[in-house]
Amino acid sequence: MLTTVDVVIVGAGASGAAVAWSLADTRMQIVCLDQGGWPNPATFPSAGRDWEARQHSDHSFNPSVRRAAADYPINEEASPIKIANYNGVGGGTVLYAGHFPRFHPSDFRVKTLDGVADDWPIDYATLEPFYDRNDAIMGVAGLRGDPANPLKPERMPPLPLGKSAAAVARGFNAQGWHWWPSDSAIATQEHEGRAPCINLGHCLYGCAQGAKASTDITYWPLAVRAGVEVRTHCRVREVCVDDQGMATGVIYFDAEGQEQFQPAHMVIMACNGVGTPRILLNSKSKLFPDGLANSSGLVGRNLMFHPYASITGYFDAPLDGGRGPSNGLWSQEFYETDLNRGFVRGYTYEFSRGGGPASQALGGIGSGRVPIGSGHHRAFRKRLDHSTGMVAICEDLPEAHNTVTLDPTLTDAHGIPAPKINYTISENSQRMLDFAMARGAEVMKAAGAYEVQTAAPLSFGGWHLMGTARMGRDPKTSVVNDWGRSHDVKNLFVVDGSLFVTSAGVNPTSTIQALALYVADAIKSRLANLFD
Amino acid sequence: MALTDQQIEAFRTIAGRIIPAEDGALGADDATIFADLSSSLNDIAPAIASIIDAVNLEAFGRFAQLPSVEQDAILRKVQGALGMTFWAAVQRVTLCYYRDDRVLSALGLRPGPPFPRGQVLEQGDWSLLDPVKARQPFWRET
Repeated sequence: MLTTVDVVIVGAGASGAAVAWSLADTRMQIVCLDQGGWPNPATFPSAGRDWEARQHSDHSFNPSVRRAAADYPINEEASPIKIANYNGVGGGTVLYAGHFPRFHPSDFRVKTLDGVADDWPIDYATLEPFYDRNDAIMGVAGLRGDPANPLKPERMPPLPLGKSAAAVARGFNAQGWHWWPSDSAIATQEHEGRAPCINLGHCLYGCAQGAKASTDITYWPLAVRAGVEVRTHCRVREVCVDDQGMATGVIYFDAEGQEQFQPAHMVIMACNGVGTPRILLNSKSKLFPDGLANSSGLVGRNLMFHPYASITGYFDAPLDGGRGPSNGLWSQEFYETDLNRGFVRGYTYEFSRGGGPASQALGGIGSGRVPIGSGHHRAFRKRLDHSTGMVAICEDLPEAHNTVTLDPTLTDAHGIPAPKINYTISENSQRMLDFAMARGAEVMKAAGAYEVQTAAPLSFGGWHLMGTARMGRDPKTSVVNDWGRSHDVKNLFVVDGSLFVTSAGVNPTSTIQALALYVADAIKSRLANLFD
Repeated sequence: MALTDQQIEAFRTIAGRIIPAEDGALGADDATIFADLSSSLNDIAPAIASIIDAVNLEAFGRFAQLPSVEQDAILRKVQGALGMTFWAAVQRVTLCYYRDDRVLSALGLRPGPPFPRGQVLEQGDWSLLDPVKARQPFWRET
């Protein structure tokens, strides 16, 4: 049997890295288990001629396409939105765009302000210092003074607008609508030893330059230097408990496929909104027959994605194509609730620059605008580097029938039951998507687009996995308390997107990490009586 | 499953119509491009075989001899019938075609991967932000 450690963290992604770094202060013995390995930027797609092809194979953000040894199968037949993730050190931050918006203060008071869903047990002011600390460690480019948001600390200079974002900005200006340079976890100048962005345009598939902040190159080097052990290629099957209902550690399969038991005084789940409920539901025992920490019945319920709409404009003037990060600007004109729009809550527009030549050709062929056969070259030359667009990232409200459960038959390579997703897009979300496409088309027309293409929902866009072990003060209506500790198991914590009570209309990574730092801080301030 | 030489040759004709040598551009049946393409077909070999079978059925085994207009019509019909199976081939052809140095150069693009040289992105017109800077904060206080 392995030596007992103070803390075992399951998952080395956005939140696992942040909580490990913060807890390293305590000099507790901390082990983090991850089912994948360390990414090697030298092998990322943008370093090879087949860089666009690898978006559709081993560096796809869709695990069902990628099929890496570290991945696990997911039954997502009953969901119009498919899961996107990355299993390895850095987690989803390895294959994300680096969007780094924060929640708004109103996002924590949804019930009070708008009469829907629930309020969070914490507020923006509570998280603000952790947002600030996280921004400093990850390294954020942007511009202070956005009138749609509370004032934030100074950041690195914003990413360039280029021709494409400037075109979209003109469209917003013509409508009199808000836009602002995006907060992006992408270094625009040297930051803590990381080189600045050189516009590879391949953020979503791994940044070979290391300019984009993924936790394998931000938090983890600091945490490892402080004594945290990262044990890779270790897939956790379940959290074990004793007769008193306290967690005793985790059972996992090591890199050789051998079953191991890692005893620990404290277990922290950091496996995202699908992985965490999967393991908790698979941790059944005499005391917890419905899965661990599940006396509320809410583990795996209230799954939220962000339904996405895309709006693409085609312009006569040449634009940037795929040269540069997809990030550039956002608009939160329609972020706060206005019931005259026909829906409650709101969304953010996020600029999306464009893809490489093959991606643009495939987009054209897929939409029927570029034919196969005769006429292909003429149509493609007209469109190459002449389009740009944006997505609308819509707030999804929690609904108990949107779930992560255990598939009765499908298992991973170690025989662990696979997660099964049941999800439907609500009427409110659909109305929001429709509104976002209509207003987005107006922006593109105002920007000078001669043609606009819209689509929703983006079936491949299940990047944000939230709500499946929500926080709250009432054990009947939440899985963990207001500082991330399980109501049922007093030495079990959750720090990933499962915690979210509501999803807001922005990318969740900065909030996930701020929450992880907040939970770590709560643990550190209560060490003397942590399990009372 | 590995494709036979005969199937590969049949698919070369099809690839050459998916992206044809027209308007001064190379086709996907160019020797260098198709060598790259044919080396990456094994994982979608069943899809390729289905497409070849469907095309042969529509063309009575004479696809290569048909005028290009008829070839295109057959491919559109097969595309409609096979859906995602056909798309797998289109995707593979397109991904291989648009990484050929000659193709990229002809389009005015720099051949090769983005890293390590990087790419140039102009700052753009930051004066566009002036009217937004003048706006009062509008996030909801709680």
